[in-house]
Amino acid sequence: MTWVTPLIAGIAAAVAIPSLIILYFLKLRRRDVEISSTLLWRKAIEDLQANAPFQKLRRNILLLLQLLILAGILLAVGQPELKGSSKSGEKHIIIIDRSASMEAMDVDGSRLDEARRQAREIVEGLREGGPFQGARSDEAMVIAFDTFGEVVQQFTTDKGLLNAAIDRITASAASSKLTEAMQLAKAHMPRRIVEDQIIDELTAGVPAIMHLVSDGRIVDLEEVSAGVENTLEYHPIGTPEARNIAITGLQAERAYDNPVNLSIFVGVQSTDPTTRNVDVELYLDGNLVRTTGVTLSGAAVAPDGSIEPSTNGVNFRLEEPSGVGVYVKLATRPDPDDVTTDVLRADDEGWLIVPPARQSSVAVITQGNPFLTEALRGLPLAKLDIYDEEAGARFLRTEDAATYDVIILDRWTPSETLDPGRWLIFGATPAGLDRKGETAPATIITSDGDHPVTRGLNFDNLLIAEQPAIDASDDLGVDVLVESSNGPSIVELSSAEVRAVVVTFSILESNWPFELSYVLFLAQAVDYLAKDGVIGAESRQFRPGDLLSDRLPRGAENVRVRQPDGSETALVAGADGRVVFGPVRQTGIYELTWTGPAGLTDVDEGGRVRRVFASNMLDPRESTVNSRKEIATASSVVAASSTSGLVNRKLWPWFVLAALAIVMLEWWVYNRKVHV
Amino acid sequence: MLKATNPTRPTSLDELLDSQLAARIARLDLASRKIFFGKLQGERRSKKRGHSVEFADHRPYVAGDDLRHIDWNIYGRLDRLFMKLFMEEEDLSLHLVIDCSMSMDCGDPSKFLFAQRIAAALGYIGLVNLNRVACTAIGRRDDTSILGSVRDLRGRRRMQEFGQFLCGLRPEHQSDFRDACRRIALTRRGKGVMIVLSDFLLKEGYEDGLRLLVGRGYDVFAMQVLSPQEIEPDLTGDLRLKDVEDLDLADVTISAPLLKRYKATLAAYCDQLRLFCAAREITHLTVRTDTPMDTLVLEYLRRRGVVR
Repeated sequence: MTWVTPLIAGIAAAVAIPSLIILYFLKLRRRDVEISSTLLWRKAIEDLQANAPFQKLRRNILLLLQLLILAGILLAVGQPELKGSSKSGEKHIIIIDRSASMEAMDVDGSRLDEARRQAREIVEGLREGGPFQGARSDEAMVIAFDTFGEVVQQFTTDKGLLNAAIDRITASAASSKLTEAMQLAKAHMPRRIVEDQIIDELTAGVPAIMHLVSDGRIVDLEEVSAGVENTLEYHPIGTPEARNIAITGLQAERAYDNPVNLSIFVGVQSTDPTTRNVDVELYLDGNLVRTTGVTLSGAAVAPDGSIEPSTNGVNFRLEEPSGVGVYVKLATRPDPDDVTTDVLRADDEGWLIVPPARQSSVAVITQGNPFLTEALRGLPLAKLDIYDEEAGARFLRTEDAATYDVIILDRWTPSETLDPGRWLIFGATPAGLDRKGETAPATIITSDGDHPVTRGLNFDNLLIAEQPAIDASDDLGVDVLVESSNGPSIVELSSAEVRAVVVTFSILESNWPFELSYVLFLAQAVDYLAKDGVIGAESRQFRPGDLLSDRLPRGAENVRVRQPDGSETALVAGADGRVVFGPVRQTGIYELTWTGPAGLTDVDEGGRVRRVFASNMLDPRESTVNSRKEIATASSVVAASSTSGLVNRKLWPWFVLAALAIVMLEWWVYNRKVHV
Repeated sequence: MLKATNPTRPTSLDELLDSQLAARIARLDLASRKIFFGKLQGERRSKKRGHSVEFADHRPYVAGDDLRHIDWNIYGRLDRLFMKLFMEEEDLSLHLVIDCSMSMDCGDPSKFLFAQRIAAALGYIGLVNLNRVACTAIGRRDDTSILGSVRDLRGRRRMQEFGQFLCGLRPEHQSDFRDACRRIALTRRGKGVMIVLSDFLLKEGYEDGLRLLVGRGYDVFAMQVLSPQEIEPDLTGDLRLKDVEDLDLADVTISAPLLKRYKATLAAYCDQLRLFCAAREITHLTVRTDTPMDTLVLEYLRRRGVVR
């Protein structure tokens, strides 16, 4: 125990104790004495009191003093504070991890509960300015982070505000990244100016003490630093020995040649050092259809002490022509009440939205391109119709055109803007794409490996003899999928009603037909466009921390998003029909609903259209929940801080309460004796 | 002042009047400023003129008077005949009134024991001088204020009886002085000396009672018995004083000013009693219970004219 102001306490005792003793003697304790008669004593007392006014007041003064003591103690219990300027003491930044791994139950409650407790202890240990401490108050701010950072409380000395902000922090299923949180922390510190230059890494005034309250499962730790002058203290939450079984992979694929055959792959990992047998349950539209056991060997320990989880998987093969909602669950705990065998539950489930099995119908308008037509004939299409330019122009004016999933234009586009639909264009630029510059040979520089159309394609050997240069900058709705030495080679045009993949060069002016990437591109582009921008089940799937972003049909109104916990939020669609929500923080099914037209895979239920998305953790790093005893940032290795040395528990309120109880007892005893 | 925790209760006359003191006071006799006549021939002078050896006065001779009492000296001088008048000897009755209220059972030495001893001494003096002795105990009990009495005791042989009466008294009662004096005044036969033994610390007042006693023609002595603790209290600290008679409570913090004030109050009270008594020809005496009995009787009472 330490004493903050021992001298003041000593002075107070030197004044209070003698005063109390004097008060004690003033307080009358009477001895009973039987005498012959009180006749003369009463007269003597009356005569004396008549001449001594103070005697009459003495009892009242005692009462008044006791009331003043009581009032003083009661006011002190309320801990009154005066708002005003004061010299600032230390600056503390409390950064609390609220990512998915903080929902692990390997402590008393969840890790986030424990993090809040430790954060409150840090707040409690802040020094409060007062008359005995030179009026220096510590300030603190609170930042919560998962994938993104959020300031939940600005710098303040008010402990009530800080604790309220800490209590407001809720759990998230997103993974943890510290970069943005650290940027926010540094942004709130005044930067030092040296020779008119703001130095980012140097703080003006008192450097901050950053308290990272986390389990250390942070993806980008080695990319962040607290700054040159600030101090980073790490408060570990959770246990290094935590055992967790998790779904880390979930995919659904329909066979290319027979889309009715549906494969659902479930990847599982374990951080348990012992061998575990778990059951994987497969539900389709809420019905349990399959249960398969999977064995996970014991997790290994790397030389640096980190855990290397063991992995395994199971593949469910089904015949399912319809679109289904897939739900996968792990049965991991032999004893449902024993949380230590699987401390995190959020990663024991997964959802998938699988569109129905369907082959596309394609119409081609071309002057003759065997590379194109023959390649298309090799795809598993429901229908393939080929038109020349003249017939094609007539065809486009019929209602029949709208029944095709994709219309391919080869070196030709309609003079007017594209009608609503899905278009794959080779060697032509439709209205909306402006040409600039000269046509020139080109080689591919880069491609978007994440886009469903160009994913997994290698364009290194593609040589283009003539490629027009187009202006794709500043255009809304134009995404460059492949960039060449002469500008964009392949772009995607998208609006509320039109989605087009445009290959700006003619395939006949390149060696592309002889490359493997050509056929794959063709298949992926047709598939992508035919399923309304959706391939497989992956585009309706995202992770907590991502933004839910999608384009709705033109005319969609009253858009709402419903989260897995049942809460609903209204959204406003942009001019191009795009809606954005997030970052999402829960796992489960998100539903977009609106009134108006429905897309190909949307469900119209009583005038309201519904489109569903699945949010899954599928994060091997976040599911490896073993807490770290130390963390390595970009600038240093930080070991765990001992909070017992950090927190100053104030004891004086207990003394004040004890004094209050004693005063109440003394008051009771005093009044009893007086009234005997 | 303080109530005795284990008061001494005499069980025989010897505890009240030892033989040594009795021998010393036997030669004393009761005195009175007012001379009364009794009913029997005793060793007492009365103002009533009668046949005795002591010349009292003259009156003119009328035919038929006894010629033996003619004063011939005056005839020789004035040539006129006058008759001599002589004092007639009468006996003196003594009535002792003892206060048996609880306030008398306080002090060290006990006021009540002291009053019993005074009564024993005075009663002995009265009896050995062939005076009629009576004694009444007063105090409130049920519906009476007279606790008991003895009357018409005469002669030394009645002393044991008197002693037993005194030993049987107990100071365990409330006081009702006025009513007791009224009853005494109504039932008293004859006249004489009345000595009231009490502390006179009476909340109901002593004035009415004493007036009633005086009104019947007694030669009243008010003997105020006080303990040393009442005269000079040795109390300290914070006290809750409890009146033994009416259980009245008084919270006091003993201090020098308070003690001083108390003593002044006591002196004023006694002075007030003395003045009241003096205005009604009552002899007021104040005696301390720590006064030796022989000093009290042989010196103090003789000096104050109670005995001679």
